[in-house]
Amino acid sequence: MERAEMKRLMIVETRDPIATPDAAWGTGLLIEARQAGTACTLMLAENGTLGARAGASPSWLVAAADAGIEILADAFALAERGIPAEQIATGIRSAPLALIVDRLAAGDPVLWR
Amino acid sequence: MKVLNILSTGYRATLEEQDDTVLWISQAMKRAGAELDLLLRASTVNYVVEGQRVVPLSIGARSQRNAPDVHAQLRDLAGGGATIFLLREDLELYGLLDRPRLGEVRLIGAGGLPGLLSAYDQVWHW
Amino acid sequence: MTRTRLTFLLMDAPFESSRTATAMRLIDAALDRGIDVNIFAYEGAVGLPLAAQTAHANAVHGRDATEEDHPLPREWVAALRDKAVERGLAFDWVNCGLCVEERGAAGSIEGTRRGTPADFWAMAAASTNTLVVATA
Repeated sequence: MERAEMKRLMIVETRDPIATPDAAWGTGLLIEARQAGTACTLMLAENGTLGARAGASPSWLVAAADAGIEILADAFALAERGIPAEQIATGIRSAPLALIVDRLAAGDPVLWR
Repeated sequence: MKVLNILSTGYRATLEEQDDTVLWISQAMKRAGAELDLLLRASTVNYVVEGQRVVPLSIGARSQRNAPDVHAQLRDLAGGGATIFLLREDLELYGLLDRPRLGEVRLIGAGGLPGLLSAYDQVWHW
Repeated sequence: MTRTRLTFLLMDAPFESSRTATAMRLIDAALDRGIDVNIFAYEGAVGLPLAAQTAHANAVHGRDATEEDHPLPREWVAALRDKAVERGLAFDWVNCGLCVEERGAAGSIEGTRRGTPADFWAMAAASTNTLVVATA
């Protein structure tokens, strides 16, 4: 059952991070994986991007950024919700959704939530 | 190819479907030769609890005779060779650590998940 | 050079969730990158390619049917299918047959077919990777 260690792991969080306590589980997994040497990305999409606004990020999202997790937010969903670049919280970057396809094509595990 | 199915949503349309549809598709794929294991977390950890009983459902004059049995679905998957992993932290969170449960499961802690995911060609989250 | 192929499993019924549009954007992006795609429509997602979907006027918006230009998931599916054909890419849309039957959802657009979980497994096994977009 042994295979090569995971090089990268991406989780896509589409749910409202403030109203959905279970959203924290994904970042918990990413932090564990990061500590095990895996490069980890959390991609916020749909209502997940509501956590990207400065002042709105739940503590577990801040902790994930502090732990070295790359946190991205779908540019389309940010615009749809009126979150301009200058309002995005520190540690979170706007990115194209298509990055998910690139990770899939590279064979990286991508978990959709 | 070996796949890990992570289940996070329990009792999704089980009364309408007479089963859990993710367990069902897993069972169907196993019968077609798929190599897959399951990781139960969040509400799906309750699937391992013994003593689940669906009260016969009647809507007007329409009574449902065959109720879902998610516990038996899991047992079937385990019997078919799937390893059923159970997230220890969630078992505790849902107050199930000391409850009688399905024997054919393996507890895994959150710290073991990166290693577990690494052991599969593909990981799907439901 | 080996071609890249991705499999997507969709589960949400049309007009119910943001996931439908997001998934369509992802499939579109995959085609832009020259990636062959498989789609397995499970449960409510078998309604996405239903040929009987009809655009409607919207009095609240103050627009007739033409002005409203209401998007229909079947048109998105058709647009992705056509884009794949234009680019010489594979586009295999499979509806879970039992899911179609229990919903009375027969009558999908051309270029889609009926299948089983075994088809999903075969698609995934032949793919570089798989993304499951399950209902919340």
